[in-house]
Amino acid sequence: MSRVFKLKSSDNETFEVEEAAALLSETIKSSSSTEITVPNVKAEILGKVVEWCNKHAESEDTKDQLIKEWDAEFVSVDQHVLFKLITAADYLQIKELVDQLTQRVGDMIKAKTLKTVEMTYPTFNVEREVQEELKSLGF
Amino acid sequence: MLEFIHTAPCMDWLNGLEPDMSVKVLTCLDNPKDLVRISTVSCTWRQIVVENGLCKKLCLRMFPQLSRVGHVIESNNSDAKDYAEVGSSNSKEWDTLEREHRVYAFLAHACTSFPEGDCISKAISASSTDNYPEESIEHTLVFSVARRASYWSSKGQKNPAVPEMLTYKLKSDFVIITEINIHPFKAYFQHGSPIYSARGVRFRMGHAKFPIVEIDPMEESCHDDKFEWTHTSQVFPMAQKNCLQTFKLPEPVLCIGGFLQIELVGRVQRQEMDDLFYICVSHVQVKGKSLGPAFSVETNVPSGLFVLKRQTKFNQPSLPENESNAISTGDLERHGREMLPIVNVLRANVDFEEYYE
Repeated sequence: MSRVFKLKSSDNETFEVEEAAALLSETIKSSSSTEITVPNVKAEILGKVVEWCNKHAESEDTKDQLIKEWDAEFVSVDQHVLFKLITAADYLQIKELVDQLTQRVGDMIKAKTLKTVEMTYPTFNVEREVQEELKSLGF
Repeated sequence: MLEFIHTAPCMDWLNGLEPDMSVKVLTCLDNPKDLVRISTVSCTWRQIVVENGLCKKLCLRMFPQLSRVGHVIESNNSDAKDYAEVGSSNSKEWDTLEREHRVYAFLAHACTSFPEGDCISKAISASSTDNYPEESIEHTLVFSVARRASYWSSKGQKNPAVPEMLTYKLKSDFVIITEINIHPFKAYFQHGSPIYSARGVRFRMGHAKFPIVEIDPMEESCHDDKFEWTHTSQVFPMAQKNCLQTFKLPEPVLCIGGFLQIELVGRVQRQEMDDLFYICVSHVQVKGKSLGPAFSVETNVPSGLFVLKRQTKFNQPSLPENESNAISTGDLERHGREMLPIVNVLRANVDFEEYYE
């Protein structure tokens, strides 16, 4: 008889998660209780993490093309959601989810689609500095 | 220390992530230019890149052979004197991190941007040679010229399992090898035109144990006491075909030390005249990227961990080898490698097509 875990978000919403999905989290696995509060993670984000775990618990083969496509869509979110998801997945120690999310951010950096304060308001000096640094290193 | 025009306000997304998550994100970057770009965005990002040795980690992922490197130094002269290490241990540690950042960033860049080409500088020795100097190892580096075919031949053996070793020096201490090409020799002047290939080949890469390698080219040995082989490949099967065969390494390998040994495993062809097995090779090529003189390595270190030297006045790969450096032996002349043995073929009255298949 599989256990049901209760995950509580920082804004007091509770999510019920089946054992197979819950145990994808190392934090939950090593917890002595089936009721876990996830600090600093709101319901909107925790809900998405639960959705990912449920999807991955039901699919036997993670190399399956369909699940790869689902994963790719899952990480195609706004960057502020992406960073919150990383924090949540990191706290819950869900290795594969962390890998996928951080890879996504890496891809955005490579594609130069990642927006940061510096990148949103670039001064004309940014590119020049990059070239100077590259040159000083010998590139 | 670079001045950053935008000293980062704390609205940076990085502050929303745990430090090890930021590192994990930046570890996904596999282009050194992206890492450099990131490190110029703000002091915080630069600190993360340098402190976590991200450029070094990138290089180690590309070439695990770099795990043998313990220490990096920079020099802007060929005498390679270490920069004096002064200051408190904290600043020394940071200086080391900064130096490693600079050196590994350029190394990653060189690995991807330096052009590919031929990497053999010269032949060192063969484990055996039938007729010296007519069939010596030097012949594997030139195409046939003058009157006779250009090839190396081993001594004959009754036992076909006896291997042979050909040792070569590469163009610098630091060479990325992608493939090795070997052309077994077809003795067109013998009855049946036998091809003296090997059953298979295996490659070893490494460094000389002592600073100067003086080897008598007539000395027949694989000289294992003189070299330390830090990488050994799988055995690749060789075809008994008269053509330049390509042995592509599953992953490019960084040869630290600049020496390559080809082991010819197993003999397949007996010589009719004496009923002994021989191996003969007409041409050897090593394709890859030589990273000298920008990089060199000190391998004679008591700790066993190599010292990587970055010569900062060189940002380009080495210039093409000067043709006048060639070895000349007897009537063997060294010509450009593109020269075809037309004269030889015509004189021997051999069908050109057949000879080159």
